[in-house]
Amino acid sequence: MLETYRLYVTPEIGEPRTMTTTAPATTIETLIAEYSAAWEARDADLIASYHADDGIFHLHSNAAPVEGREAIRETFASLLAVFPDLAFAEQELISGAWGWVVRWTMSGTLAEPYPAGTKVAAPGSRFEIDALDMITVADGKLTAKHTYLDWQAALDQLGLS
Amino acid sequence: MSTATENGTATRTAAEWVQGFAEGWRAPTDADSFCDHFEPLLSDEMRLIQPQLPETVGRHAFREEFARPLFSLLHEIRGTVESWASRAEGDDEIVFIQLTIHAKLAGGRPVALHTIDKITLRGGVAVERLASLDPLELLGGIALSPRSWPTFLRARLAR
Repeated sequence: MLETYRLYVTPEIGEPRTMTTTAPATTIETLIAEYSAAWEARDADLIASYHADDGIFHLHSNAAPVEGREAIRETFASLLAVFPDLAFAEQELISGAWGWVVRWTMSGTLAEPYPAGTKVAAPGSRFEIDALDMITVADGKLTAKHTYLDWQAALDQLGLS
Repeated sequence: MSTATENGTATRTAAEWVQGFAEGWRAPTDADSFCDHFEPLLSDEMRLIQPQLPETVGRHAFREEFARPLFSLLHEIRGTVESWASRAEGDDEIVFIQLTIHAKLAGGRPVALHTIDKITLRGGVAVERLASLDPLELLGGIALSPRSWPTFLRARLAR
């Protein structure tokens, strides 16, 4: 039951402000459903179509933010090429007109050899880890997707640590 | 604004709790002052859950098994709350806080950690903190900073 939701941004601590509301919650719920369906379809073009032209995707795992819809599409296409059965099982979700926060169980199976350092994981190797997305929305598009996951756990499961 | 309960005790709202969280992470000087600041915000039995580390329970464990190893490994810790969101869940308030931490390892190598903490508030204090982060951000910095290895190994062996 989503009873209340708020998202504050604090560019300077002590001066919180409410994020701009851009769409009614029903629109957000539709957007969440459609965006999740795009990921279930594993269609990078369709997924990217929900991101803003100048949106960002930031995997907080020693990776720089990916900026722009086309770069985001390429990133997701590459990810889906490596893990074609990539799947997300929702654990919990908070949503509002500002966007949503969702905790996932993320899993996937390697389709090709995956090198890391001096080791290489073989195709068929599988991982399942916890992940979390914090997503902001404006004008019906994703303006930022921040992803947090325990990639160390994935490397452990893939035999790469 | 605090919320009054039926017995007249004032409890913190989520916004107040997040403000206290932000103040605690802004520029902590050492483990003890950090814990002294946070203890009023935590339940006696708070569970602390984070990747690659054993779960801890209680304020004492927060001080001895989280804060002391953290401050022995990292210096000049500066944490910034980027954003937060919350919702009510029964008698609890669930709060997600996006936090960025900048610090230095022994030897001066800078590291940046990005986390989202899921905090469960009950009666205005945290009963659980579940951290979502990639330990590789820190481990990668440690690997490149040999002077931090002894401290890191001591912290790991102390668990």
